[in-house]
Amino acid sequence: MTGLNIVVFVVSILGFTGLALAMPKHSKAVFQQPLSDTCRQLLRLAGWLLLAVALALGIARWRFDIGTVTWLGWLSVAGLALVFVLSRRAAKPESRPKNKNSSFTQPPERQSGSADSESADTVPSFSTQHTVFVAAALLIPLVWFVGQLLTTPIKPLLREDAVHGEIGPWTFTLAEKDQKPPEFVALDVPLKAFVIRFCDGCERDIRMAYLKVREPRFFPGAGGSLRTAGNAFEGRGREKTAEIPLPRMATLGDGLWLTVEATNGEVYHQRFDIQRLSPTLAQFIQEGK
Amino acid sequence: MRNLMLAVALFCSAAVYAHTPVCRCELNGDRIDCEGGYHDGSGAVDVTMRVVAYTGESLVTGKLDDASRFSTPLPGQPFYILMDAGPGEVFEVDWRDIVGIDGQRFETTEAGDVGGSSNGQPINQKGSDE
Repeated sequence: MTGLNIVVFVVSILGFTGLALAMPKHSKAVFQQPLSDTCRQLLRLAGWLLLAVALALGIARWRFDIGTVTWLGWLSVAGLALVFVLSRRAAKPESRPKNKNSSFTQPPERQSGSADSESADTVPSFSTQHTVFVAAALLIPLVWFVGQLLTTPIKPLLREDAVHGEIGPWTFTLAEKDQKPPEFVALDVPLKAFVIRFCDGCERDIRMAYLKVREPRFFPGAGGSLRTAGNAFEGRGREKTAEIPLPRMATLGDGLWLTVEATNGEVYHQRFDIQRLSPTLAQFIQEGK
Repeated sequence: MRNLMLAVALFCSAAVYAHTPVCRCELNGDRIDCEGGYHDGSGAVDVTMRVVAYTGESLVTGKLDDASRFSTPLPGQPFYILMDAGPGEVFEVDWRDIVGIDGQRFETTEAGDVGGSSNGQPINQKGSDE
């Protein structure tokens, strides 16, 4: 994960650099001479392409929501870093024209010769306060972003412990929502949340999916075994969450049971080893709560 | 513009999570006393309670009273109690999970399981909501 973050950052800063160099002001400051229109157009194109590549990398790894936010975070850091570097470079004496006859590096305001302006030979320098302000402007969002990056847990279905399986004609990914023991809620009932995501386009064939500890028992009334299939996966979007209670006398042998009801009425059941799907739940059971 | 604002408000609103039913049953003499509710501590008045034998026979059907409680005689065979707040919103109390009951009371064969395949094969049971 860390490696890809670095890649997204580096590609982003390269993209921004390309866009910056496509601007006459910055290309003159960096190369000491103007770039051709063709060259600047190519740099502009490369810049946008690199930013798009950085976004694509983020989405491919973290899906659209987290990928986009991560990309925007690294864009901010890259943009601030570039602004800082270009500003410093523009202010350095060596970026000034060595030959005063050369006009392309001479800022227009220096040529105005106004009485209250600095002389042409005076090199503007950053004050300590200015430097501290710019450094803070760069570092505060950087520290905040890195802090968020390190403390934000990986999405459950992207973790390595997520189970990738097939039930009936559909593939799915299933994982515990967090890697923590069940949470005690009202009436001292331990509750544990799981997340599921079915294959692209499969949801239109699925009416409902359920999860529970222990095999669903026969139920004589309407709904049949669906009534005892446990709690349904619910929620917006394609990732659904089910909060299931842990029976008071549950054992590891009971297993976790996924039930999927198709829109055509077919029902599929699949058992999972508790230890495999949720080591924390298994430990909770073994310790006798 | 108003519709747009409404859409944004809905999009930004907190996710609505299910009200998960919870239940606790205790053996008192020859009766089972259950207290039901939801995970956030709220009551579940009028939610259906079903006592079902492992064989599939429906033994008792009732509702949680105004105090969110339900009482039923102890059946003479293996059973489970289903707190049924709707499809996908249930809480099952197996007889072994009842506080104070002898875990050896019913030496059972595990009759009544749906017999679902563990490899995801269809049961071909037609499901329907009430």
